Amino acid sequence: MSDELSLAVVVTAAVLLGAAVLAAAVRIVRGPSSADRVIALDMLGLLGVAAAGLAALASSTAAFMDIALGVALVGFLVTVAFAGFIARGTVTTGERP
Amino acid sequence: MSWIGAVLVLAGSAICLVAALGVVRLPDFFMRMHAATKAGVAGSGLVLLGVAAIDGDASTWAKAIVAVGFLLLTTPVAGHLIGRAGYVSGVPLWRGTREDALAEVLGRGDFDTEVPQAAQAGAVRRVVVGLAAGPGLDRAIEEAVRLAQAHGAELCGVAVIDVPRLLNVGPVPIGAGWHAQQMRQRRVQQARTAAADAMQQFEATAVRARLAWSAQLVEGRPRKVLGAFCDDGTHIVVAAGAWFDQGVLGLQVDVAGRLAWAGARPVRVVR
Repeated sequence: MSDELSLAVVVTAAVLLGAAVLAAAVRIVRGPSSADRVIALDMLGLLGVAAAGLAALASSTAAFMDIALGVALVGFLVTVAFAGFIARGTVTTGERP
Repeated sequence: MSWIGAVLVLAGSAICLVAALGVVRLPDFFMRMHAATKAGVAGSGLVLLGVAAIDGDASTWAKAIVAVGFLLLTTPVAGHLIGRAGYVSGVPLWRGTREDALAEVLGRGDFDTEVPQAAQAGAVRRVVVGLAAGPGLDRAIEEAVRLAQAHGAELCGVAVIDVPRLLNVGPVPIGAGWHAQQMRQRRVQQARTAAADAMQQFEATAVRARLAWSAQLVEGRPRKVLGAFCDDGTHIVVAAGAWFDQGVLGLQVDVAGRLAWAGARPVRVVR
């Protein structure tokens, strides 16, 4: 595959992922419940994994694959922790009625 | 190999975008979760495999496979956990939901949205009753009168006609435009007649109760119209099982779910 073509592939994929990140960010801002925001955050984590893979491709640096692995690990822990908070109802500040 | 990799990367990115669109556009939390977890894993997994296919190195392949395997193992678990947490915390289901298999199994808390801080509001100064023609109208008006008398509040009847909903006749086939227009006009007319009847009924009851009262007819989106009345001193009363199509379409709507505003007082739905 020629250089221009592989560049085109990377740029197209980056644009698609960028649009996806924007969409997930919209859901984080809009909510309405904190569970919605956590799901969008989870989505952002998955997009981060894909973006790290794409960075490995764009820079020809295999180390970015380790970052993808790390982001995948951390994203799972984040979601599990937030799920616990939401289920117990202590993620909001202040007293609950 | 690099061609396969390029196709995989592009397909993965496209699936990621579709997943993110699903997270934005789907109507309730549980559907969004489904989009984010399933399509998200497929998208990122394909991108990683594509990168490994382009790179071709054994260590890259190993990392990609480990990462994909890890995603496949963890994301379903995370999705189930957050879905359960959302259900337990009381996130509302989509109004079109037919079956709730967890209804008797798991308890549901209060919907946690924007924290109802205005809930400890002052005295009730105004009782607004949403007038929608239907079987529960009498009881809703009675309840509003009772509340207004108990709090010494002003009674306010608001007949809302959900015109945008009435005008929506679904897809119109070519050549049926005239008929669709007739149908829209007829629906709105019927709704106006029904709303006028409901207002007369409200007026009669209010006069009999000797309360300070006012009534108005508004055409627009019920949530927006009634939401404009939402403040600390206002109680909103609506009948269950009736919607502001004024009975014309015979809609069955979860009134409490549709009219759930963050903050202020919760809507009182009379059954």
